[in-house]
Amino acid sequence: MRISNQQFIKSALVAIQDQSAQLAITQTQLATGMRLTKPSDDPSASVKSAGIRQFLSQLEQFDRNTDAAAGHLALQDGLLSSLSDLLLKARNSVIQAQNGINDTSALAGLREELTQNLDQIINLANTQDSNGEYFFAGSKSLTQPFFRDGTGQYQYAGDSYERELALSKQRRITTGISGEQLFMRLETGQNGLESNHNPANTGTGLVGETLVDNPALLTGDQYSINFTAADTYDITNLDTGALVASGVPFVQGGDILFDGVRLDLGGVPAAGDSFTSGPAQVQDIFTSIQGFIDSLVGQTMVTTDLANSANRTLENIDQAMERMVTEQARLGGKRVAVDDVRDANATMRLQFQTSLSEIEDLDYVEAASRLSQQSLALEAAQRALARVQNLSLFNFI
Amino acid sequence: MADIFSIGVSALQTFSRQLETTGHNIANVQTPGFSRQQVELNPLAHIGGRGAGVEIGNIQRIFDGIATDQMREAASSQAEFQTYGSVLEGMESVLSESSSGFNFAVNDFFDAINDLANDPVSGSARQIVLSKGEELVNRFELLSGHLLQEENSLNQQVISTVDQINTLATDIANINGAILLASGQGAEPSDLLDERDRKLHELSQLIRIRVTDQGDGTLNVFTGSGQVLALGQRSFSLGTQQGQFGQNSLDITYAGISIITSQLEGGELGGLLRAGQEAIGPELSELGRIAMALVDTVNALHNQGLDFQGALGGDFFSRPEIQAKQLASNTGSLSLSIDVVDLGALQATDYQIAVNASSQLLITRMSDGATTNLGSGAGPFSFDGLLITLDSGTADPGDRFLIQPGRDMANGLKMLLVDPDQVAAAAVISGSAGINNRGNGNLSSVRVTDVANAAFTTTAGALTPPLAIRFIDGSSYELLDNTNPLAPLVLETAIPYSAGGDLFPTPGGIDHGYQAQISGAPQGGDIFSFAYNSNGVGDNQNALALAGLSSSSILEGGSESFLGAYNNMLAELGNRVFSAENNLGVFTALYNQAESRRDSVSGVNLDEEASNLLRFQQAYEAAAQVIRIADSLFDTLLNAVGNR
Repeated sequence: MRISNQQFIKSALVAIQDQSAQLAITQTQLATGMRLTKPSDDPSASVKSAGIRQFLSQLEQFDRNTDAAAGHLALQDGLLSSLSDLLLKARNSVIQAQNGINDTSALAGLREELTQNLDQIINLANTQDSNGEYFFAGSKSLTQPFFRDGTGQYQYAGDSYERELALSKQRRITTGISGEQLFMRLETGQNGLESNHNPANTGTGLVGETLVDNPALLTGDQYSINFTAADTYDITNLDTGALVASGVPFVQGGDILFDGVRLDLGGVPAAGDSFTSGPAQVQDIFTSIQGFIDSLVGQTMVTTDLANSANRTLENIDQAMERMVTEQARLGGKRVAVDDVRDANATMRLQFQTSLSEIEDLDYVEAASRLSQQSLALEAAQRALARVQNLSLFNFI
Repeated sequence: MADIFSIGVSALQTFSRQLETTGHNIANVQTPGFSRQQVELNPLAHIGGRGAGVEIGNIQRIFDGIATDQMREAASSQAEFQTYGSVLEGMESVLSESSSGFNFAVNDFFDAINDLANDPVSGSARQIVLSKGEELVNRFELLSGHLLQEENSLNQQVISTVDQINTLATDIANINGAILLASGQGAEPSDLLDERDRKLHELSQLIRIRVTDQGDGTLNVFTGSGQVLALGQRSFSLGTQQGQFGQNSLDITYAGISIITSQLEGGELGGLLRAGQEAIGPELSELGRIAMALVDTVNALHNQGLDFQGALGGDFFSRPEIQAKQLASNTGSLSLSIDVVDLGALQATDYQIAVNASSQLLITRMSDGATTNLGSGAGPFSFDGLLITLDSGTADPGDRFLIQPGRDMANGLKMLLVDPDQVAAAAVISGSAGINNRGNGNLSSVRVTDVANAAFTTTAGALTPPLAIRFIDGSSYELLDNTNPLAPLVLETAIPYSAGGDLFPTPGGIDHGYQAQISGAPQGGDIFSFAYNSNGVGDNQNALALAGLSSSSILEGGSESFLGAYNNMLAELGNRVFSAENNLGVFTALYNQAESRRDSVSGVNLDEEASNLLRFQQAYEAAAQVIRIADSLFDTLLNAVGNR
């Protein structure tokens, strides 16, 4: 084949340019540590890596959310513990107030103690975080949730909203507890039932536990137990007006049974005394404690009336404490869940980072050996061109 | 004896011409497109066959027509992919994940909203949402600005390429004339032919051409699609004009009238046009589509929230309306307005609407050329997620419209919120269960469907009226006007309850622009009430919903997120660059092969010329000897005569 001089040089140049281009790619790869530097290097891999980076960026945000959630939950956990402690103190004060040896000053002291205690509970219920947000105000978090209005009623200015945070794409977790749930929406009595004495009673009848004897028989109606004599009573359904039982003999230490309810009535009622029993009401814990504080006013000794009030107050405090325990348990569960999600996110991040690295990171060993091969090839092409250039018949003429 | 002289002289002249030609070849060893020349020799003879020396025939140009054609063909494709690829590579580097910052801007925006959801009363979190929103708007503007700039510089290149094409066509026609003249004088004008081949080669790098030989030495030159550029000594020119709908992309005209943009291909011009049609246009459309989806979904959700001051969330961003451009030559008076009704069905492409003879509207999707007949009704027509409304006037047959839905979106976005308090992080309605409820019914999230409902608009900052529902028993409830919670008014009664079903609109048709569901089993007497979420600053429900948009699939029929769509666009661009590079490689190899073949035939080999030099020099010296011998013979004869 005939070869022209231009052909010689051109084909050598093409080879050198090709080699230089390859070398430049390897050089860029080594300099950046990346196998892929732009989408066209490997379009399908670039879609994958962009997707993974997107996931990683979301995970980063979810980590921040998880931290925020963990912080909120930890603070609330602390608050609930303190509240439980205060409720326990209040409970002890109420139990002490039942002690028959209390005199005027002892009862006044206990009243003072309980008043302080209630103040502390309200203060805690109105706790604000570093942003000035009230913990237990629901969505109205910049409005003080608990206060006593002009008529002495305890009011809740918040709502039942509980804030959620997104821990992952699928998982949301409530990080707030509404004050309504914690303090306001509390049942009185026990087991959904509440029994009371009549303050005008003259006997020493003391209403103890109200139990469900047979759930199937419960009516949800209000009943009145009227002692016709010290040892005989009638039971009337106040809603229907029906006389449920009459002339039932009262056994001291025994229970009173009617329509699925078992009422433990202690002490000795007098003729004309009456008691009521019916479905539990909803009452906030502040009103419950405040009610007992009010009933201590001017008391010189522990009356049957006071002892009965104390029993009701204890029931209400127990309900509140149980609510605290339940919420603390929920909180603990959530904290575990947050940790789990955090761990899962971390695992996922590691996996994603590994696959990202597999897709776009450079194999240095391979690249380095490629670099030396390519520079060798380039040098060879350059030398060949220089050598061939010198060959000319004119050198010999 | 005189013959020997003349034979010697003819040989001397011939060999000196051969030496000249060799010198010419050597001199042009580096001249691009030069074809080496050879002197054709013819022996001279007297009548009767006795030799009479040598005669110079043509100076022959060693030329391979097929290889030259192949070179031109490959050069067209090579230049096309080179140009196309380099425009796209530029775009790739501007739009790529790392340099465009688009992914970061989108993520930062939604992350800021997420942080606000974590801390909805924080003023700084609100401020960050605003500034990230502003950055997102800027990012859209910056990227679309880059693309528009790219388009403008592309247009400049198209104009200058067309100028070059016209100049070359004129040059070729002129050379045709010169060749015709020279051929008439009998000599083959080798260097003129080389010159014309060079011009043709240059032309083929600008646009694909077809060349036909007229037989008289002149060549006719056509574009690949058949428009004459040079016909003998006459040339015809291409022109450029703004898009016929007034859009930014240029059209190529032929002979000042017909628009031939879509017919041209190959060469730099083909590459430029292709880059505009396949990359810049679609990229602007896609960026705009993402912008539209983002703005519309964020606004729609933001409208359903409550800001820090307790006011309904307004629009977060604004975007331009979609315009329908029309031909200046439209004779009808029809004007169209375009709205987006379905983001999932939206496509990143332009549309043309043409009115046919029976006044039907034919809409053509430019990405795939599919045409749909919308009919001749009064509209509005729904197509690809767009709602096309015939505003006023009537269309005449032949009228045409251009719709570029995404094109002007990305650079026309604005952030509307100015005060951090305006970020609507809270839900509008707070629903609550009555404090004395006995059942375990729970009000699940309340969702606003229509903020224009009278329930919201009658009194700002309140529901008119606030509603409540009271269960009659476990399976039915009544709807109450809860304006006075102590004495609510019954609006509708005996509404059957199904757990998890929507409470509104009621069977009686009461719809206050929101929906709610109750889960669990409520009991008779249980009350659930709805109120305006006044002071609900700690509520993050709307912020959570907004943050969720970042990963929700809105585009492509609900299968692609904002960033997913962007990354797909990048991947497609990457694919195009990738295949342009591959094609460039293929056509470069083809070109090199053809060039090598041409050079092998027509190129100068210095060794060959050196040996020719030696050969011709020897021959020249030998011819000189012939003359010397003839001279000495002549002397011998003269001496013989003179001695006598």
